[in-house]
Amino acid sequence: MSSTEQGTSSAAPAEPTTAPESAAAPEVPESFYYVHGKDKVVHKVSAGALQHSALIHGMISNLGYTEEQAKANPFPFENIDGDILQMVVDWCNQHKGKPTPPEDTNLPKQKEKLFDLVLAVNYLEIKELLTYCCKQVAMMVKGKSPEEIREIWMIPTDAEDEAAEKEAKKRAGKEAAGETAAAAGDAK
Amino acid sequence: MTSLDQMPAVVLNLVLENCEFREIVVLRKVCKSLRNFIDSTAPDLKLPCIILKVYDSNITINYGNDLNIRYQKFENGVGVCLQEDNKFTVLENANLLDVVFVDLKFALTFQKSKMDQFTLRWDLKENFDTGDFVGRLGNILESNPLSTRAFHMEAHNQTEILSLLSKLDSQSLEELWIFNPDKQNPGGFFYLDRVVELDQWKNIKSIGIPTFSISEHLLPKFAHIVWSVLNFEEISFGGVVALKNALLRSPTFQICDFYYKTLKATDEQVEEEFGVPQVETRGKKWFLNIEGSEQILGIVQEKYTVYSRFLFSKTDPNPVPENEEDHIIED
Repeated sequence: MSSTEQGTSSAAPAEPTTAPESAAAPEVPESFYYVHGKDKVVHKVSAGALQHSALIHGMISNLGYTEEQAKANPFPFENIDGDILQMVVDWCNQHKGKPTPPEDTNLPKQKEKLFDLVLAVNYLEIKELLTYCCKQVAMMVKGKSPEEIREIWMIPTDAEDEAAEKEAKKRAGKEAAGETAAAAGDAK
Repeated sequence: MTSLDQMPAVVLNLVLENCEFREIVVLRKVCKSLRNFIDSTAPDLKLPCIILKVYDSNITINYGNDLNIRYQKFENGVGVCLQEDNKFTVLENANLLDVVFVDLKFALTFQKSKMDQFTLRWDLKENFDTGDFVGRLGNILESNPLSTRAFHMEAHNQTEILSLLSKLDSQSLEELWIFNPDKQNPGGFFYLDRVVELDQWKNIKSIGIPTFSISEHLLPKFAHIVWSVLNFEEISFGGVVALKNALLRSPTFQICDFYYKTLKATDEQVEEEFGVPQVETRGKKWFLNIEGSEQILGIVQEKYTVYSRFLFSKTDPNPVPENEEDHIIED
């Protein structure tokens, strides 16, 4: 291999470069897209940052929008709360083009926000962030008893659940009985 | 508010992947939907070990990472507690073994990754059907071969060893220790003839049977073992010579340390076979050349009042001082 191939590289000549810097590639003007959540607040995000979301990346990869078209057609994510979308956008911006760190300590500590974030991230298919969030959920389970977990996440006990189910069944049963009776009546 | 039990399967799986054994057990007890999810996806428990100790009226299971569960027989049922806090949860009218086996079944069938150690020990003074206990344990392992690097067992007979050893993942098992459950009176003969025929035996690298005596006729089956500690009530001179020859040919062997009560040979016979020894305070030493290898076979014989010892080891020739090279004999 000829050493002149890397002649234009801006890397320090004394240090033998292990891999050519991506900066050597021709600069392409960065494109931006717009997203909004339930609160309709529009966020301007670069395509580079949005690459973290497999869902959005798939949507924009063949779109070829001009700046004006992108601005006029923000992606609506009506199922995501505004503050949660803001968190996601911030995370994508912070980790744009960077390898993600093994630990991410900036995740919300409140369980309500964390769960909503998990759902949003899962929907937007942001793999690394989802992994961090799930680690965080696992951390919250650590050292707790089943009762404490039920309390924290307001999960009904099996007994409460069964009572609710029984009630629902009873209602369904009554309705079904009503229907059969009606059907029987029809048949007559 | 969205809750844990309403999370999509992808999310729950990721959460469980990041949970350890204790958290998975706890989540399984939170509600029916989480329990069903865990039972249907069977997440790996990533346990480092399972160490079972059976006493007359209690059983402890150590799952590693300082997690010790104790099951205690009570008049009205069974108490279960974390060894560290000793706060018992009492299961009324329950049977000790039934409770233990429900938990063991969960741990042994969900565990998928390779553990470092699986151990079964006894400390019994009263009548206890150990065969039945081992049989029940073996039945659990039947459907899910346990992957463990080491297996240690206090066994009353070969059948007990076979019940468990034959069900361990033969590709993972590297180390086997068999102990006499009677710690006060070690010794006695242990049949191994069926154990050495198992697939699991072929991949074992180290083996220790220090408190039982085994048959010298099985020694050729130990030639592939890298590291072994053995015990013989009585060993013939032919047995020692056959072992030496097998070790000289073995590409894998490193150390074979065996204890014996009686060696059916005179010192003259030994020296005729191994050559003139290097005599030290505690015993004799020989160094034999290994054909086709730069290493040499070191043999140490030490004599004590009850048990004496032969230690065979493959070593580099460097430790032999120059003036003692005369003692190295050609094999």
